[in-house]
Amino acid sequence: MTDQNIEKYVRLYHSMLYRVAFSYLRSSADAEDVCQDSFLRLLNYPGEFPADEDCKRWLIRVAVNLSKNLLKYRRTHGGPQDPLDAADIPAEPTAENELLPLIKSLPPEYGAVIHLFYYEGYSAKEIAQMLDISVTAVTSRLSRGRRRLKKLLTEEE
Amino acid sequence: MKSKYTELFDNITPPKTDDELLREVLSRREGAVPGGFTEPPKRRSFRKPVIIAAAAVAAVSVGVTAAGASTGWDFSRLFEGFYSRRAQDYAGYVDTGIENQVITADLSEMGISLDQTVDFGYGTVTFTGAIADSNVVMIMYDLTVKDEVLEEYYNKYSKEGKKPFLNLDCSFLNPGCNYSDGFGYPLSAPDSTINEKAVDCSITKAYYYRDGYLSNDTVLEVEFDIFNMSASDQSWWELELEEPVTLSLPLDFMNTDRIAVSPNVEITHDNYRYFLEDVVITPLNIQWYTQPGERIEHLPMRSDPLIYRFKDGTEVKNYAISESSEYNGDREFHSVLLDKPINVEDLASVTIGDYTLYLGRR
Repeated sequence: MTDQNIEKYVRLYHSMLYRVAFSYLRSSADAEDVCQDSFLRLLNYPGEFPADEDCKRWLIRVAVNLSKNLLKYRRTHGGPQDPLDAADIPAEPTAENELLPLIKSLPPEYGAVIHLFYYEGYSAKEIAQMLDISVTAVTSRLSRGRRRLKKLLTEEE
Repeated sequence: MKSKYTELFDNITPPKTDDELLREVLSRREGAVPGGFTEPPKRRSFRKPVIIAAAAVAAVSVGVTAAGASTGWDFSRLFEGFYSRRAQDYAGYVDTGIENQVITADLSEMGISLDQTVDFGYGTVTFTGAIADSNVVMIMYDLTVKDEVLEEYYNKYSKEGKKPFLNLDCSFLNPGCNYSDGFGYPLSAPDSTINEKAVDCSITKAYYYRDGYLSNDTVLEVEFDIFNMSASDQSWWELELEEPVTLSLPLDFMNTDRIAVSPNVEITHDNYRYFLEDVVITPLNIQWYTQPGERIEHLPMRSDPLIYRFKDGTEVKNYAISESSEYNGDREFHSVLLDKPINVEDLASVTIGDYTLYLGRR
């Protein structure tokens, strides 16, 4: 992977990847770490992607797997289960703080599917391919995730 | 809901700028740690095994309103979705596949034909069959949607008229049972136009049982209460059933073969160090219980395959189709649903991470 392509993909997908990781980890510091690790792995990608969209999906998959590992690490090392519960969270309203009740209501694996569906606009089939799960698993997680979000967000008809 | 979600997430921005991230990434180019994703995982197709045809099994009452007659159900449908699902090849691991067909378990001795149909208002569900061992139950069912419901879906949600995937979601299970994974496929192509025949969908769902085991006396209770439709153009419609469909399934047909051992050893798996306490192996599933794992920081990220070795010398690697691990107090639970049932009596050893469990003579 050339430096030029790395730069292109960072500029294209940094924000996107950060939001995906944030939807899973609920921590800006952890999400940024996952972003960095994902792009570090991209450095070692042999060859080039046929299309930018292929790279995007590859990065999402890597980021979700890294996020899962990090979450598991947090559980077993006695760190704050939810880093945003730490005492140094600013009290003023921020975009992250406003989003917190929303994503904290979801188990991480539901949050990733909800985010990829509603925010990134992927279909259930595409999400299934990216996350290597079945379409039925995606639709079940979407269904359950929506039920949990119902109380917090206005339903669209 | 979507616009509100999007509005909230639009305001989320990374703490580092693109230039800052780029500088950090490129500065570590020489020392970058090779990860388990140096190249995208290659996808391959499973070879279909020879499925031993099921003998006709008498249908039993399963607590649903409509009764059906035994039809000699073909259990090969169970694994169609599993076998058609391509899996990853991780660098460094070669999948030898199952060469010897005699090690394939006889599905007819662990399953039952159901053929029970229920009208749930928006369509019908036909429970076609079930397969069970003491760790896992798999239920197969077909879904149809009524024409008027499909028309409303197209008018409201799918402007392109793409046929949707169908799903019937459950919300209640026996205590100790957990939903594991599901596979479904439409019997007609989901991208066909509105002018073709109505959609049907065939689904297999698996439920695993932990901290114990299912027995011939168990009655599985499943309540399906949400029906949803979604198409490749991202249209999505979720409908709550006025009357949930309840399935009460006595498991007296199940395969009770089971190996349970307690190695009590330290192992390394997926870059974590665990104390492996208990291992349970059944034809469809392997479960293992550990103390909470500890991450081994210096190793790059990777996934270790599960390796089954049989007495005839056959070796099968990395055939998991779903895996879950949970942290529950002082124990972690790992479950791997196999994509091919096995005869546990033919097993010689199982390798989990860096540990091989030899099963010896039984």
